[in-house]
Amino acid sequence: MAVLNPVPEAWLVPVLVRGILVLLGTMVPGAAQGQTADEYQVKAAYMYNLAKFVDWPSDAFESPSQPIAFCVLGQTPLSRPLEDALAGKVVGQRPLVFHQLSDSNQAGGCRVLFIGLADKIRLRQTLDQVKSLHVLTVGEAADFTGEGGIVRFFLDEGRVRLEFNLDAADDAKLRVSSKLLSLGKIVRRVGR
Amino acid sequence: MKGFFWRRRGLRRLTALSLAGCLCAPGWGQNSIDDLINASLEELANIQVTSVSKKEQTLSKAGAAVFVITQEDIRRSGMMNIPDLLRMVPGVNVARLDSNTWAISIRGFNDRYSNKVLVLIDGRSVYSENFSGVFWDQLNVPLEDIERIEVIRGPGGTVWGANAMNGVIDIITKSSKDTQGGLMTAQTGSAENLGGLLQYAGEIGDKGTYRVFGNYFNVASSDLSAGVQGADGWHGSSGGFRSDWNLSASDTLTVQGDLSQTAEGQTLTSVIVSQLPLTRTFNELMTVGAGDLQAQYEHTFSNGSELTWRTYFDRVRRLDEAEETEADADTGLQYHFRIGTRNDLMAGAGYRLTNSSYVGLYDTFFVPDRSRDSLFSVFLQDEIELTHNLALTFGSKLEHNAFTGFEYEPSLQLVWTPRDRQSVWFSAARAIRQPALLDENVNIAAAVVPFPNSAFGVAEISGNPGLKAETMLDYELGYRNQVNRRMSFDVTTFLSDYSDLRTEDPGAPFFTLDPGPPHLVLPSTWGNLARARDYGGELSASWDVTGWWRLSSGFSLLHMNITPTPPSTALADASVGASPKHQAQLRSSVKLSHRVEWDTSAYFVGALSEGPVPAYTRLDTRVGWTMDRSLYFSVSGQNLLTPRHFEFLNGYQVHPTEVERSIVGKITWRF
Repeated sequence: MAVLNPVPEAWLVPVLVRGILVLLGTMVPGAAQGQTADEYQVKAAYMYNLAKFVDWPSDAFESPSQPIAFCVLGQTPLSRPLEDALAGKVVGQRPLVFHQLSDSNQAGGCRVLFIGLADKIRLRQTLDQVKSLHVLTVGEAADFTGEGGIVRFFLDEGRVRLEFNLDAADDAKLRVSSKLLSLGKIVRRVGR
Repeated sequence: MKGFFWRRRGLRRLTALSLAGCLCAPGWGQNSIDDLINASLEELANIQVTSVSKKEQTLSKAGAAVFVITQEDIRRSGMMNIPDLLRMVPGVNVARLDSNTWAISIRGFNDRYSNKVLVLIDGRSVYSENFSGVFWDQLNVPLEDIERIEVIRGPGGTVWGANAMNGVIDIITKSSKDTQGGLMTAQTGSAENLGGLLQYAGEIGDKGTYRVFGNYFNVASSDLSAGVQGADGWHGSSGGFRSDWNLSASDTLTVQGDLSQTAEGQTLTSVIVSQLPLTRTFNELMTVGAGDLQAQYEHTFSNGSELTWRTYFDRVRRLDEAEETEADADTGLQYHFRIGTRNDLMAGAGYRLTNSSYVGLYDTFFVPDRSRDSLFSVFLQDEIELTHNLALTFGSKLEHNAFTGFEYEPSLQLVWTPRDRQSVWFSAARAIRQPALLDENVNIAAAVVPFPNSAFGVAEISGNPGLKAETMLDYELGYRNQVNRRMSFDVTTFLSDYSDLRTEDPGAPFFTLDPGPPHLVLPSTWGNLARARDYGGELSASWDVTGWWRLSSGFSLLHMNITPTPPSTALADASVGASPKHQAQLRSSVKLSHRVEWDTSAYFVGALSEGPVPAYTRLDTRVGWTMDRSLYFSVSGQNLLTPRHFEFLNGYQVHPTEVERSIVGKITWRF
């Protein structure tokens, strides 16, 4: 029979202290609670930030005050929060405007396009259509960036994270600020 | 094979969106979009999000009654096995016979050997071709590795083929890419059960990932009646791996495999044919060994069409007094493409070879005792976008099986989406249950009937090589509405017409000298002498009362009407009284803080006249506690309302045991 080793208690103490703190936290409403919000509201807020942290080439706009068109293709839960988020917002001299699209043929004038599709075939068709049109494509399908989309939202431990396909951003002549990139995961893969 | 066609097509859409979210405490109010807009990027990256509408959103266009159990549902249910998880699905009846045997069915026909629901793990069928039905004790997938369980009520034969009659249950495991790192769980509790999982997942170069795991569990025996302990305790271990590869931007490969071994006790009463007229009641130990290996390769062409190839081998050996083995080799190709802008097509072809054997000892024999059967199938389905809010899907499977030759399983679905998040759908389909080896080859000495002067008779059931497939014509109408961001519901009604249902048809008694002393044989044979017309409906609803409290409920109604044709008097495998007419579920999920979650579920199951088994309500509650990112504790109390109750009594030879009140603690460590 080995002599009881006192060492385990050394790690046990902080664990217990932490446990007690957590328990106390659960008893006091509001204490120890993390910040939480609806997933699509957070995504909408990210979308707004994209306008601030992405540079379009000058030929993407006709004038310095031309609005930045944010489009959502298809029925997605992002539409309503995004419309709310953009209402009345201006970045630089450009107002942010929201468009709900039902067909990818309408996407030519969009500067930011959210594609809610998970269907690979349609996703590819849509991405192909807008490839050379200076459109910042944003999606959440698992293979979105692999298919040539530029920004993908994904969930990591209940938090919304970003993934960037920089090759696809280069193709669209878009420059993503390093501040935004530093928060995301970077993949360099052009679809196909 | 069955499985992956439709899964890839219809439910593919679910994949991207059905990641588990969490119900979290309020922090940002409802009208806080401006707060979020003004938050810094770092703040945004640290906000816990609630994912309320994903399931409803992606389900909203399916032309079938689909219910998805997410990983979050699994964790928050506190359940420890797959059968118990299915209790949360409206329309599914789960009845525990003993601690390692379940009777589970969808929309009636429940039985220990219920045979009208197809069950798949990552597209691999675990439905027994020997016995028709599913041995639930073989499903030892670690619950932590399940991404979701998709349950389709109603026929799915067009894509899944034979036996996808009353429903399909597809258990989909996580990609190894999504389980990176280490995971260890350990649990212990009162009646059941002791268990643990050790798992590690890592990367192979920059293109591949892998996961390996091993787990062990031990469940104690429960009681045959008050104070009389049964022998149904069991334990088992399993190990497996999964590796996922992005070979190129357009090629992916997944390879996975498992091995499992369980030792299970049971109490049975069996006729001993070699010592007639002896009937014995005894405890017996059964060992079950299973293994599988599967590869799936997917290529996307430059025009966007996709080709998927899947192959698997699996083998199961169940050894008690008898030795039963089944080995399958299955391969299939499936092609998904579009024609024009409105037609989305799926075509496929598959082949399966099944080698099986059953060597009996006491009361059940197969004559001959082994067989090798082939199944060929082809399939085509087209989804046409008729207008911007009306879609028509139709197609059929054509199969050739070793028992009944050619079979076809067409279906049609019409989905109308008048508004965002609202849909009305109608479907009509034909499905079959293909006879199994049991139906053709079996010989069962079901009971010894004593006569005066020590004479006796033996009730025998024998197989019928001429047995036809059971067929079903099913019509469904459904409505889904996601009323707002917090509330949604789904109603389905169905009318199912069955014909050629398997019956046990009495024949003329005769004397025999072989085997045993001279005795009278009271024979019956399987026949197809019953029809049934069932109707009913299911309702499921979910309501996010507040940002931190969700209520989910379900209700189902079933009316069965089985009509045997003389001389047959009843179905061979299920009676109307073995399935409850009503079932209801209510689940409450509360996020007490962002570290503590509290879940309570009540499951009501109506009375069974077979048995009889009185109606019962199962009440479970659970508290889960996140210590930090890597450590998670939970304590669950299950079956709290009654100290003990039966759920199902007809186990054929197997004696039922009581479900007992229990408490279980579990610790999960990620590293």
